[in-house]
Amino acid sequence: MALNGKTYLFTLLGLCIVLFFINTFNLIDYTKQIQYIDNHKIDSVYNVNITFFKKSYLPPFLISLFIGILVSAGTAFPALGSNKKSLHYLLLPVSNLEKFVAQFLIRIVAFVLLYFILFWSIFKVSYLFFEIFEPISNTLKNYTILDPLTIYHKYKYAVFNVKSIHYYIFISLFLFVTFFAFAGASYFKKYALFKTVFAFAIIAFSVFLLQLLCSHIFYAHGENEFFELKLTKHFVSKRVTNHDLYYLVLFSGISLFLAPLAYFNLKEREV
Amino acid sequence: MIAIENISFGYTKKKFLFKDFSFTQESGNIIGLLGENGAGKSTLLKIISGLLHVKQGKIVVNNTKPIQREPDFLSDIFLVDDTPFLPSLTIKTYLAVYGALYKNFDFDKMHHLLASFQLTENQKLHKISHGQQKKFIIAFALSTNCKLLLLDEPTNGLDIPSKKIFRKVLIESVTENQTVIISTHQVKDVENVIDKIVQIADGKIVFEQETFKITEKYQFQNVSSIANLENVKYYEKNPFGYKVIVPVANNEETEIDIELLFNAIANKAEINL
Repeated sequence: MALNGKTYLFTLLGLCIVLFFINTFNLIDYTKQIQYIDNHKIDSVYNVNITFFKKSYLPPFLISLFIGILVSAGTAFPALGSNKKSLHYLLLPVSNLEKFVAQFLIRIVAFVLLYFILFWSIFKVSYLFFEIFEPISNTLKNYTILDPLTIYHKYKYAVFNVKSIHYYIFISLFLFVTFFAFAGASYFKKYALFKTVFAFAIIAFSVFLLQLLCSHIFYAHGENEFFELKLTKHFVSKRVTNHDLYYLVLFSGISLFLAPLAYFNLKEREV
Repeated sequence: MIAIENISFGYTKKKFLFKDFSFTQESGNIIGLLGENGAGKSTLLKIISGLLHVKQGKIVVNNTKPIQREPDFLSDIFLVDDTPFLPSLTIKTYLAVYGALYKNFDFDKMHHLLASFQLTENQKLHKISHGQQKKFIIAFALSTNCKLLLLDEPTNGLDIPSKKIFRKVLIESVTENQTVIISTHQVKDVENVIDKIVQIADGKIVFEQETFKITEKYQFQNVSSIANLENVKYYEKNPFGYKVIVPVANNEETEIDIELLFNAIANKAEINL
């Protein structure tokens, strides 16, 4: 913290400014949604909250969280960016595991916890700012940090409903993005984030090509269907399709290997 | 303390910097590691400190495989790089953060060395000159009281008074159970400090000897003419005549001229001990 305190502080300030703009635009968008609800006379506490949450709060929250964790984990191990810094860092009399855990806690665990609190706090600030110019529904005044989770869970929407497989796919996708960026940060020297994103694009495209090849081998394709993936879809249980299982196994399975990979990249690192 | 057996290492697969390289060193010496540019001095120091994987062979330093980079091993070794990285902290904060990581760190010794190098605790490390940064990191390295101190071009960037202070504090600070390896091409700067010379060329040790044994057998003289001298092992012309290496006569020992010795070995002169 003594070493990177200033960097963390400025990053936090920058993040606050960005989130303030995101949340303010959220509220502008939200007022339009409310007008729609009013016009169609479907106003209720439930609808106001759900509409706000589903259309204004959740999408920017999740998108910015994904971008945030990608940047945070993808810029982990900043000391490995140059030979001079690497030499200093690798020779510190601390075990590789401690170095790994320190980065993991700061860049992933602390970031995610902080992000939940920060996004909600900035939302509250944006609310007060917005209210100076326009009145907003009272129901949002008492909007708490846990509302996004409880409302969603109560009405069994997909993402935060623990009984839904989509919840687990979402979590495994989040872990996959996080650990992929983290492993990239421990592997690449300079411009680790950029290289990680580039590597991801190459791998994703390769997987797509492989699937396309399989699709062409096993299924007949028409004239204008060259890039169409013809994969069969069927329910393996009442609510779970084979596609759901495929993505769950793919993301969570790879994530399991990426975290140890980041550790071994650090352990085997040379200068 | 350092046991390197038949290691092979190269930055590319085709070209080896070291092939079947071996080197053994017990504790308690200040060793001058000499060699031309690109001979592999810095690489050897990185291998010893565990920053590089060797392709073949065995290396044990302080009874540990360096590449495992275990905390105990790392707190007993310090590598001072030619251009050290120092974070944007004050000296005081740096000592509080990093000094605590070294199990034998001596804060009193550090304060004494800071005073010797005319540095104060409130100075910011990223705002002081390169020479001052070098002095700070040398003082820090000596204060860790580590068993193995690796100095890569330590006098680069130091002014003349600082070089003198460096030699003084090095001799004063190093204890019998410590080993110091100084890699340098500025051999004059460490002439009176080192007690063993190791010279490497083409991935091999071409010369390894303690300085007292060298001065027992050879004299380093400045003469106006070499016409009347017998058995000259090596000579170099200078504005005042010649610098020569000749076998000791009448048990008269002279001060070692490492630069001359280095050139003699580099030019494959016959220096037998």
